[in-house]
Amino acid sequence: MISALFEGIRGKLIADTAVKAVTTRVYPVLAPQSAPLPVIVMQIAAGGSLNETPRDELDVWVDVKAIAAEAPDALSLADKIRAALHEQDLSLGGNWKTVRCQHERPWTFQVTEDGRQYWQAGGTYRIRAVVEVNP
Amino acid sequence: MSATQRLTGHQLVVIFQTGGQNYVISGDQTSLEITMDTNEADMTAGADEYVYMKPTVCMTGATLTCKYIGTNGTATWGAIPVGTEGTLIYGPEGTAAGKPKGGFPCYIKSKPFSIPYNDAIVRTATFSPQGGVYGTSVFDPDVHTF
Repeated sequence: MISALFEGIRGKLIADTAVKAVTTRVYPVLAPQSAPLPVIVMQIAAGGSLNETPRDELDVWVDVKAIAAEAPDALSLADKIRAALHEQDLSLGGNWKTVRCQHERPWTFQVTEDGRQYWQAGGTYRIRAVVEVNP
Repeated sequence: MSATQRLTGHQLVVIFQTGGQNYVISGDQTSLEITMDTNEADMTAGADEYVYMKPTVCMTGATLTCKYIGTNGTATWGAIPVGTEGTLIYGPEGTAAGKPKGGFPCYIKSKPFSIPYNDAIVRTATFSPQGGVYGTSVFDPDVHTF
Protein backbone atom coordinates (compact mmCIF):
# COMPACT_ATOMS: atom_id res chain seq x y z
CA MET A 1 0.00 0.00 0.00
CA ILE A 2 2.77 2.48 0.93
CA SER A 3 4.80 1.51 -2.12
CA ALA A 4 1.70 2.01 -4.32
CA LEU A 5 1.32 5.52 -2.93
CA PHE A 6 4.97 6.43 -3.40
CA GLU A 7 5.07 4.92 -6.87
CA GLY A 8 1.93 6.83 -7.81
CA ILE A 9 3.43 10.13 -6.72
CA ARG A 10 6.83 9.41 -8.18
CA GLY A 11 5.33 8.28 -11.49
CA LYS A 12 3.27 11.42 -11.75
CA LEU A 13 6.20 13.70 -10.97
CA ILE A 14 8.76 12.16 -13.29
CA ALA A 15 6.20 12.17 -16.10
CA ASP A 16 5.43 15.84 -15.63
CA THR A 17 7.23 17.98 -18.18
CA ALA A 18 7.87 20.93 -15.86
CA VAL A 19 9.15 18.79 -12.99
CA LYS A 20 11.16 16.53 -15.27
CA ALA A 21 12.94 19.55 -16.71
CA VAL A 22 14.32 20.28 -13.23
CA THR A 23 14.83 16.82 -11.74
CA THR A 24 13.71 13.21 -11.94
CA ARG A 25 15.30 12.35 -8.61
CA VAL A 26 12.30 11.50 -6.45
CA TYR A 27 12.82 9.49 -3.27
CA PRO A 28 10.76 8.12 -0.43
CA VAL A 29 11.72 9.27 3.07
CA LEU A 30 15.33 10.32 2.42
CA ALA A 31 17.47 11.16 -0.56
CA PRO A 32 20.83 9.42 -0.95
CA GLN A 33 23.68 11.60 0.21
CA SER A 34 25.26 11.31 -3.21
CA ALA A 35 22.17 12.60 -5.04
CA PRO A 36 22.85 15.98 -6.64
CA LEU A 37 20.40 18.76 -5.82
CA PRO A 38 17.62 19.48 -6.45
CA VAL A 39 15.80 16.38 -5.29
CA ILE A 40 12.23 15.59 -4.32
CA VAL A 41 11.50 13.66 -1.13
CA MET A 42 8.15 12.31 0.03
CA GLN A 43 7.07 11.02 3.39
CA ILE A 44 3.84 9.74 4.94
CA ALA A 45 2.65 12.44 7.32
CA ALA A 46 -0.66 11.16 8.65
CA GLY A 47 -3.75 9.12 7.94
CA GLY A 48 -4.08 5.52 6.91
CA SER A 49 -6.73 2.93 6.26
CA LEU A 50 -10.27 4.23 6.69
CA ASN A 51 -12.00 1.02 7.81
CA GLU A 52 -15.39 2.68 7.29
CA THR A 53 -16.86 0.14 4.86
CA PRO A 54 -16.00 -3.42 3.82
CA ARG A 55 -14.03 -1.96 0.92
CA ASP A 56 -10.33 -1.17 1.42
CA GLU A 57 -9.86 2.61 1.43
CA LEU A 58 -7.02 4.99 2.19
CA ASP A 59 -7.05 8.57 3.39
CA VAL A 60 -3.40 9.54 3.70
CA TRP A 61 -1.51 12.80 3.96
CA VAL A 62 1.86 12.76 2.22
CA ASP A 63 4.52 15.44 2.52
CA VAL A 64 6.23 16.08 -0.80
CA LYS A 65 9.10 18.52 -0.78
CA ALA A 66 11.74 19.96 -3.03
CA ILE A 67 15.25 20.26 -1.65
CA ALA A 68 17.60 22.65 -3.41
CA ALA A 69 20.77 24.61 -2.76
CA GLU A 70 19.05 27.94 -3.40
CA ALA A 71 15.72 29.15 -1.99
CA PRO A 72 14.25 30.23 -5.36
CA ASP A 73 14.99 26.81 -6.83
CA ALA A 74 13.22 25.02 -4.00
CA LEU A 75 10.20 27.34 -4.16
CA SER A 76 9.95 27.08 -7.91
CA LEU A 77 10.13 23.29 -7.84
CA ALA A 78 7.52 23.14 -5.07
CA ASP A 79 5.15 25.07 -7.32
CA LYS A 80 5.79 22.63 -10.14
CA ILE A 81 5.15 19.70 -7.82
CA ARG A 82 1.84 21.24 -6.79
CA ALA A 83 0.81 21.74 -10.40
CA ALA A 84 1.67 18.13 -11.15
CA LEU A 85 -0.20 16.61 -8.19
CA HIS A 86 -3.07 18.85 -7.11
CA GLU A 87 -6.45 17.45 -8.25
CA GLN A 88 -4.68 14.94 -10.47
CA ASP A 89 -5.27 11.23 -10.90
CA LEU A 90 -2.37 9.09 -9.68
CA SER A 91 -1.67 5.65 -11.12
CA LEU A 92 -1.27 3.69 -7.90
CA GLY A 93 -0.94 0.19 -9.30
CA GLY A 94 -2.78 -3.01 -8.46
CA ASN A 95 -6.47 -2.51 -7.82
CA TRP A 96 -5.92 0.83 -6.10
CA LYS A 97 -7.68 3.77 -7.71
CA THR A 98 -7.22 7.40 -6.80
CA VAL A 99 -10.37 8.98 -5.45
CA ARG A 100 -8.78 12.38 -5.04
CA CYS A 101 -5.34 13.94 -4.64
CA GLN A 102 -5.36 17.44 -3.19
CA HIS A 103 -2.73 19.90 -2.07
CA GLU A 104 -3.50 21.15 1.42
CA ARG A 105 -0.70 22.88 3.36
CA PRO A 106 2.35 24.56 1.86
CA TRP A 107 5.46 24.91 3.95
CA THR A 108 9.08 25.94 3.69
CA PHE A 109 12.17 25.69 5.84
CA GLN A 110 15.91 25.66 5.66
CA VAL A 111 18.62 23.64 7.35
CA THR A 112 22.37 24.11 7.40
CA GLU A 113 24.61 21.07 7.67
CA ASP A 114 28.40 21.06 7.43
CA GLY A 115 28.24 24.68 6.35
CA ARG A 116 25.95 23.88 3.45
CA GLN A 117 22.43 25.23 3.13
CA TYR A 118 19.51 23.03 2.12
CA TRP A 119 16.36 24.94 1.15
CA GLN A 120 13.21 22.93 1.43
CA ALA A 121 9.78 23.80 0.10
CA GLY A 122 6.81 21.59 -0.37
CA GLY A 123 3.31 20.72 0.59
CA THR A 124 1.13 18.21 2.28
CA TYR A 125 -1.06 16.28 -0.12
CA ARG A 126 -4.20 14.46 0.90
CA ILE A 127 -4.61 11.27 -1.13
CA ARG A 128 -7.78 9.25 -0.98
CA ALA A 129 -7.80 5.89 -2.72
CA VAL A 130 -9.97 2.82 -2.91
CA VAL A 131 -9.69 -0.78 -4.06
CA GLU A 132 -12.31 -1.16 -6.74
CA VAL A 133 -14.32 -4.29 -7.39
CA ASN A 134 -14.13 -3.89 -11.14
CA PRO A 135 -10.69 -2.37 -11.81
CA MET B 1 -14.30 -16.93 13.21
CA SER B 2 -15.72 -18.33 16.41
CA ALA B 3 -18.90 -17.04 17.99
CA THR B 4 -18.39 -14.14 20.35
CA GLN B 5 -20.58 -11.92 22.46
CA ARG B 6 -19.13 -8.74 20.97
CA LEU B 7 -19.57 -8.02 17.28
CA THR B 8 -18.84 -5.32 14.76
CA GLY B 9 -20.69 -4.84 11.51
CA HIS B 10 -17.94 -5.95 9.18
CA GLN B 11 -19.62 -9.25 8.32
CA LEU B 12 -23.00 -7.73 7.47
CA VAL B 13 -24.67 -8.92 4.30
CA VAL B 14 -27.75 -7.13 2.99
CA ILE B 15 -29.82 -8.60 0.16
CA PHE B 16 -32.87 -7.23 -1.56
CA GLN B 17 -34.95 -9.96 -3.16
CA THR B 18 -37.26 -8.98 -5.98
CA GLY B 19 -38.44 -10.48 -9.26
CA GLY B 20 -36.73 -13.76 -8.49
CA GLN B 21 -33.35 -12.04 -8.15
CA ASN B 22 -31.12 -11.48 -5.14
CA TYR B 23 -29.37 -8.12 -5.16
CA VAL B 24 -26.52 -7.85 -2.68
CA ILE B 25 -26.54 -4.20 -1.67
CA SER B 26 -23.96 -4.41 1.09
CA GLY B 27 -20.24 -4.10 0.45
CA ASP B 28 -19.94 -0.32 0.67
CA GLN B 29 -22.20 0.30 3.64
CA THR B 30 -21.29 2.43 6.61
CA SER B 31 -24.38 1.41 8.58
CA LEU B 32 -27.66 -0.44 8.51
CA GLU B 33 -30.33 0.83 10.88
CA ILE B 34 -33.17 -1.56 11.63
CA THR B 35 -36.35 -0.58 13.44
CA MET B 36 -38.68 -3.08 15.04
CA ASP B 37 -41.46 -1.56 17.07
CA THR B 38 -45.17 -1.49 17.53
CA ASN B 39 -47.88 1.05 17.31
CA GLU B 40 -49.76 1.46 20.53
CA ALA B 41 -53.15 2.42 21.82
CA ASP B 42 -53.71 4.54 24.89
CA MET B 43 -55.93 2.48 27.21
CA THR B 44 -55.62 4.79 30.18
CA ALA B 45 -58.82 4.99 32.18
CA GLY B 46 -60.03 8.22 33.67
CA ALA B 47 -59.17 7.19 37.21
CA ASP B 48 -55.68 5.84 36.38
CA GLU B 49 -52.71 7.61 37.90
CA TYR B 50 -50.32 6.45 35.18
CA VAL B 51 -50.69 6.04 31.42
CA TYR B 52 -51.55 2.50 30.24
CA MET B 53 -50.46 1.67 26.69
CA LYS B 54 -51.41 -1.43 24.72
CA PRO B 55 -49.39 -2.71 21.74
CA THR B 56 -51.32 -2.96 18.50
CA VAL B 57 -49.65 -3.73 15.16
CA CYS B 58 -45.94 -4.34 14.74
CA MET B 59 -43.81 -2.35 12.35
CA THR B 60 -40.37 -2.91 10.86
CA GLY B 61 -38.18 -0.68 8.77
CA ALA B 62 -34.61 -0.23 7.64
CA THR B 63 -32.22 2.40 6.41
CA LEU B 64 -29.01 1.40 4.66
CA THR B 65 -26.26 4.01 4.33
CA CYS B 66 -23.55 3.39 1.73
CA LYS B 67 -20.76 5.14 -0.06
CA TYR B 68 -21.71 5.73 -3.67
CA ILE B 69 -19.85 3.51 -6.16
CA GLY B 70 -20.86 5.15 -9.42
CA THR B 71 -21.48 2.91 -12.41
CA ASN B 72 -20.13 -0.06 -10.45
CA GLY B 73 -23.55 -0.08 -8.80
CA THR B 74 -25.61 -0.13 -11.98
CA ALA B 75 -26.31 -3.87 -11.81
CA THR B 76 -27.52 -3.67 -8.22
CA TRP B 77 -28.72 -0.20 -7.27
CA GLY B 78 -29.83 0.46 -10.82
CA ALA B 79 -32.01 -2.64 -10.78
CA ILE B 80 -34.01 -1.64 -7.72
CA PRO B 81 -35.47 1.82 -8.29
CA VAL B 82 -37.59 3.64 -5.76
CA GLY B 83 -40.93 1.90 -5.37
CA THR B 84 -39.58 -1.60 -6.03
CA GLU B 85 -41.34 -4.21 -3.92
CA GLY B 86 -39.52 -7.19 -2.52
CA THR B 87 -37.98 -8.61 0.62
CA LEU B 88 -35.04 -7.22 2.55
CA ILE B 89 -32.81 -9.87 4.09
CA TYR B 90 -29.88 -9.06 6.34
CA GLY B 91 -27.33 -11.14 8.14
CA PRO B 92 -25.34 -9.29 10.82
CA GLU B 93 -22.75 -12.10 10.75
CA GLY B 94 -23.08 -13.09 7.11
CA THR B 95 -25.31 -15.71 5.58
CA ALA B 96 -23.69 -18.98 6.63
CA ALA B 97 -26.04 -21.63 7.97
CA GLY B 98 -26.83 -21.05 11.62
CA LYS B 99 -26.05 -17.32 11.61
CA PRO B 100 -28.73 -14.78 12.62
CA LYS B 101 -31.18 -13.82 9.90
CA GLY B 102 -33.32 -10.71 9.75
CA GLY B 103 -35.67 -9.43 7.11
CA PHE B 104 -39.14 -8.37 6.11
CA PRO B 105 -41.30 -7.75 3.05
CA CYS B 106 -40.96 -4.15 2.00
CA TYR B 107 -40.61 -1.67 -0.78
CA ILE B 108 -37.87 0.84 -1.45
CA LYS B 109 -39.32 4.07 -0.20
CA SER B 110 -36.39 6.36 -0.98
CA LYS B 111 -32.82 6.39 -2.28
CA PRO B 112 -31.48 9.87 -1.63
CA PHE B 113 -27.89 11.01 -2.16
CA SER B 114 -25.67 13.37 -0.24
CA ILE B 115 -22.98 14.91 -2.43
CA PRO B 116 -20.54 17.07 -0.47
CA TYR B 117 -17.82 18.88 -2.39
CA ASN B 118 -14.89 17.44 -0.49
CA ASP B 119 -16.10 14.24 1.09
CA ALA B 120 -17.38 10.86 0.02
CA ILE B 121 -20.70 10.78 -1.81
CA VAL B 122 -23.11 8.88 0.38
CA ARG B 123 -26.42 7.31 -0.48
CA THR B 124 -29.10 5.94 1.75
CA ALA B 125 -31.95 3.60 1.01
CA THR B 126 -35.01 3.36 3.22
CA PHE B 127 -37.26 0.33 3.23
CA SER B 128 -40.90 0.57 4.26
CA PRO B 129 -42.66 -2.55 5.53
CA GLN B 130 -45.35 -4.44 3.69
CA GLY B 131 -46.74 -6.61 6.43
CA GLY B 132 -45.80 -10.24 6.54
CA VAL B 133 -46.47 -12.98 9.01
CA TYR B 134 -43.98 -13.17 11.86
CA GLY B 135 -41.90 -16.28 11.63
CA THR B 136 -42.43 -16.86 7.95
CA SER B 137 -41.66 -13.77 5.93
CA VAL B 138 -40.56 -11.51 8.78
CA PHE B 139 -37.30 -12.69 10.24
CA ASP B 140 -36.08 -11.55 13.62
CA PRO B 141 -32.29 -11.98 13.99
CA ASP B 142 -32.83 -12.67 17.68
CA VAL B 143 -34.91 -15.68 16.70
CA HIS B 144 -34.21 -16.82 13.15
CA THR B 145 -31.11 -18.13 11.46
CA PHE B 146 -30.04 -18.85 7.90
